[in-house]
Amino acid sequence: MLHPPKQEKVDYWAYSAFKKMKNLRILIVRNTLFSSGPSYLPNNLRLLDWKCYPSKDFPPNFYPYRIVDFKLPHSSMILKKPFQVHLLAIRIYKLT
Amino acid sequence: MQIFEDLTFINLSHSQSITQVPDLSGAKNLRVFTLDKCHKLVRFDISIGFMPNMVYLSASECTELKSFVPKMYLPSLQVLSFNYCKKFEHFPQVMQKMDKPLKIHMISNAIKEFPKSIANLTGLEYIDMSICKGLEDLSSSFLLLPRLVTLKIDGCSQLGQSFQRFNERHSVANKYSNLEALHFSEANLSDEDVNAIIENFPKLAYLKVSHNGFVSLPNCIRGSMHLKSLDVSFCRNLTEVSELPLSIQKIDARHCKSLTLDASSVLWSKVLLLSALFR
Repeated sequence: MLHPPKQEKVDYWAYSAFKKMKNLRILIVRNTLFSSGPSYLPNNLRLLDWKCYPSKDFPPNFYPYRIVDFKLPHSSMILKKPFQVHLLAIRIYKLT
Repeated sequence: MQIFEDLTFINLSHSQSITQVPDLSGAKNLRVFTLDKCHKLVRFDISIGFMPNMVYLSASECTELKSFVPKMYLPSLQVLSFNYCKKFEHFPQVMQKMDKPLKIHMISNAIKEFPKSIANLTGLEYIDMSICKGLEDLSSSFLLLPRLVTLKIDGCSQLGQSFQRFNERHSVANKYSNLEALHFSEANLSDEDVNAIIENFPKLAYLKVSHNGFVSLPNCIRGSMHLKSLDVSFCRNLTEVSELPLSIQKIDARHCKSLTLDASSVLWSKVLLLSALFR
């Protein structure tokens, strides 16, 4: 959970930071404005609670097959066809 | 297709880049879907009309949204909200009976009429369509929905006629409405409209008809044995009030400037709370 007492802006960060947290189940991000979104999110997430999620879409290969709650108000999501992206992801996942 | 079996909640409110909601048929267990204030949202995928477990769906203040889905069967639905979607004009066809207790919020929409299949909303208990000024008619089958208890149509100035038409058809249908609360202020109600309302909705307990132009309350109001609260405030032409039922507990008659002395004494004799009659 990332929730600083005062709102913080983050311009530079390691976009792949979550790669090392493959077992992360709950991710809560509040009061933090990222200039760009993550390049990776763990597929084991059950709760993704990220106010002001900065990207238009989820990262490629993000297939949170056990997700329960997408809490993404004030996001920059476009939601064009995100679930097709995931379909593709699961096919690859099954092949490998 | 079983993709997101556990996905139960989605909240994308205030997301200003969303223009459409994609196919979510892989999220069969989705229960709560909130998209309030997505100002660019214009389209829902047809799959959203057929989510077996959807309980709460809200897309209020989506100011560009003109419609939801063409057809829906949401058997678990209990709340549907499109408040202040000012361009919203098409209510979906209801494909099968939906009997879960349902509340619908659609204040200030551009809707003109409902499809006949609205009669399939057998669980509808509450609907707020205040300030839907383009709404032209409410069918008898709508007004006779078995669980419909609260109807809010403040500012729907074309609907008075619907109640008179209901009066004509109703004697044939020989059915009774279960409506208990009707909010119908600022709607250009005539004496005939008010008469039709009171005659045909004997279970009314709360009647708000403030800011209207009718001149008298009909004699038949005496027979409204369940009427507890009557709001006729700002009915500036209201002159005559006949005997009120014993059940009455509250009357709001502020700014009823034309009341005769007899009428105001009828009111005074009945009420426990009557605030500032001659203010």
